[in-house]
Amino acid sequence: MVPSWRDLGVFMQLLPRSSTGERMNPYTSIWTGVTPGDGPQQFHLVLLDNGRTAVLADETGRQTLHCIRCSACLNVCPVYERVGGHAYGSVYPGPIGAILSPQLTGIEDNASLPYASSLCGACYDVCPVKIDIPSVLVHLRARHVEAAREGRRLPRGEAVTMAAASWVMASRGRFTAAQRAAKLGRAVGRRGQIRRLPPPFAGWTEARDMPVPAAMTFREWWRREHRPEDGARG
Amino acid sequence: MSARDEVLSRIRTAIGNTPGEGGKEVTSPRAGAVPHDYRLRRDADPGELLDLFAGRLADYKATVRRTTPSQLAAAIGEALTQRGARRVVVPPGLDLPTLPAGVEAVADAQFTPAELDTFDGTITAVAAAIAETGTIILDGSPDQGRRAISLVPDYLLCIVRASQVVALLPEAITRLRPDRPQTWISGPSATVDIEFERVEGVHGPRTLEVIIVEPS
Repeated sequence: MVPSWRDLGVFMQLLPRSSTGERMNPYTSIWTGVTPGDGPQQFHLVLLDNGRTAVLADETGRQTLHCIRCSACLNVCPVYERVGGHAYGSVYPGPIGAILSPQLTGIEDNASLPYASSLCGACYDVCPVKIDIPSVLVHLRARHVEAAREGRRLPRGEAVTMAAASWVMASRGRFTAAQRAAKLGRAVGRRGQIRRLPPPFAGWTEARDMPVPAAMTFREWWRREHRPEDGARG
Repeated sequence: MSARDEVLSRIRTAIGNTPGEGGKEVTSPRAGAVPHDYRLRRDADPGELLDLFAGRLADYKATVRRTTPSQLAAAIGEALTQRGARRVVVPPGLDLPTLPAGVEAVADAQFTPAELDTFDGTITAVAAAIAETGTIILDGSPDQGRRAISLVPDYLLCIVRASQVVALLPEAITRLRPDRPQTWISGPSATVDIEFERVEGVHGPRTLEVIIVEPS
């Protein structure tokens, strides 16, 4: 919906340029009800809510409704390039589908979609109506985590792990100690890879190897590289 | 409560705008304040404008002829001969010059799509044309006829008067009546929607020819 006939001109120019890179799409039909003797003599326009007012109610997510279906975000998305349209499980594939489908039909039905992104931001760069897709993706991830937390008496393993990570990372001493402890993992590595992590991290290595922790942390390396020359200390 | 009321009430709730409960009246957040600070017109001299229009049409693989009112009949005859079109459909309100012998122009009599398909092509006037995008616009006026006649036969010959050509799309928008049935055509019908593969003749004719009539 656009406010006026005049405003249609903006979108007639935006759409083909963002969609296929053409100056104008080859054919555009504009209908205003029926025209006697020309085309259908009965015309019905049905407006469906279809979850859109729920999207509108979400202050971060509502910008999704600005989408003009140009497909620029699909064509530029590295994830879409790899997985293709069917992987998104709805008629809206690509980055816009990853934020629209969870909002229209519920995050639970599309739980993997907000995560199907590297958050590289290419979609936001090309969007002609400036939908900040990466921010909406992060917002939906948070909503998914909150929804998963609700109705559980015990937190999930993921939540426990994240809470532990948060505690460790909040303190320099704890973080350094954790890095030192992680170096023990070098002992179980073979050719630089760990094939199987112990619980609660076992899920991570089900489908991939884990590189062994580095022999030296970045801080240790920095200290070594920037050790004051003897006598240089003033 | 009708479905309409229900949807509108959900919209009010969604944007935190409940009339009668201390909220403001429901208005579009941008109603009346849409900035129109983009390119709305471009001044070009008539010759430059028509050159741009003809160039863009050709770029879209349309055939372009430029002629004067006195040479129009000859130009149409030449176009139809080269196309090999002998029997074409025309809108009842199109004022055509006398066509060369051997060409039959049949006024549209509400032909069915199957009947229209037997014609070698269609000749129509246009409502407006946009130079920058190489677009011609039909609006169903008497000299342009029903949408079907411009869509079914596989060859469309449009006659554009120089005064109908504007530079930019927003200029055309102000010239057009939104309550007319419009068809905007930019080159022969084609789509690259599916996997960027170009397919021609999807929405309308595969061959578009435009005659631009310039004052002599």
